[in-house]
Amino acid sequence: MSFPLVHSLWILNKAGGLVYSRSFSDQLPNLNSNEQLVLAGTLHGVHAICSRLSPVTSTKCSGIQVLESDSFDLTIFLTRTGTKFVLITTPGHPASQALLNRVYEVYADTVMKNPFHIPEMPIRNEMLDTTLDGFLRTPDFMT
Amino acid sequence: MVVHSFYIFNRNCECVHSQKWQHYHQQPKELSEEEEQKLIFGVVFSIKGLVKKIAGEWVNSLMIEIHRSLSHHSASEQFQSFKTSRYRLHVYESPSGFKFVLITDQNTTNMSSYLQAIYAGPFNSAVVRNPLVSVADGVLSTDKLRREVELVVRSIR
Repeated sequence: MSFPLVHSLWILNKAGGLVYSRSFSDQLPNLNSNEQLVLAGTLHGVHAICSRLSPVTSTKCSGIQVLESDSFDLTIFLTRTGTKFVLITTPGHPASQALLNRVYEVYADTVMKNPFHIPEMPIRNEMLDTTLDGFLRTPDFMT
Repeated sequence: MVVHSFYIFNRNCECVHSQKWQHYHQQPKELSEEEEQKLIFGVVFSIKGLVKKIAGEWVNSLMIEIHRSLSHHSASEQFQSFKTSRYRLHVYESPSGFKFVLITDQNTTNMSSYLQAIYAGPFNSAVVRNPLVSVADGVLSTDKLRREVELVVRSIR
């Protein structure tokens, strides 16, 4: 079992567009922005279909929350307003949900309280970048 | 631990076997059986593509090589399961391209060993080694397969 790392963070708007993406490790291949947009769109669609596939019909079902694969885990956090936070980590990361909650908090503080931010548009915010680096990037001496 | 349903898909996106366990009375779904199978295959197929894209060259890196040699995992990079608030869907893909899909409740962990067991046991004996079943045909489900899958699923704790 390798050291738990966060590979990258994506933020998707209501329509499934990628509004923010940041990479925190070099273990996964660098995707160009076009590929990332396509993947974000796919994820948005799959997320919506998954809530319809529920075998339990009596209660409403959410979309994908955690996706596990051989080489990474993908954790999705859907906010009340439809924004999705997607965190790609090493398999079996123990605190991905907690990290996403923290990311949401930081997002609310830095992006939503910024009067110049236009909702649903790409996020360019230095304060968000540095704050996220502070707790998602693994310090150099640990890798 | 609740198992809801089990499906086998072949390489041509057809559902060749399905089995369901109804544990309690439910309202009927708005999806027909066939539509649901198509959606499940679609989801599995798209996630497979997504995972391949994200994991990419990491497959070639040393770590995954070591991981693979330890776990005797011959199949390429694949996703194992995903979880929603109501269910968890597990996937195992055989080297011949058959996809085994198991839908359980959301609290289970890794079931790929059971899916592998279904492939190695019931599927092998009731389909692959059965001269009366042609793999090229659409539907592969036989009573034997159904019974033996039932046995494996009952053994899940």
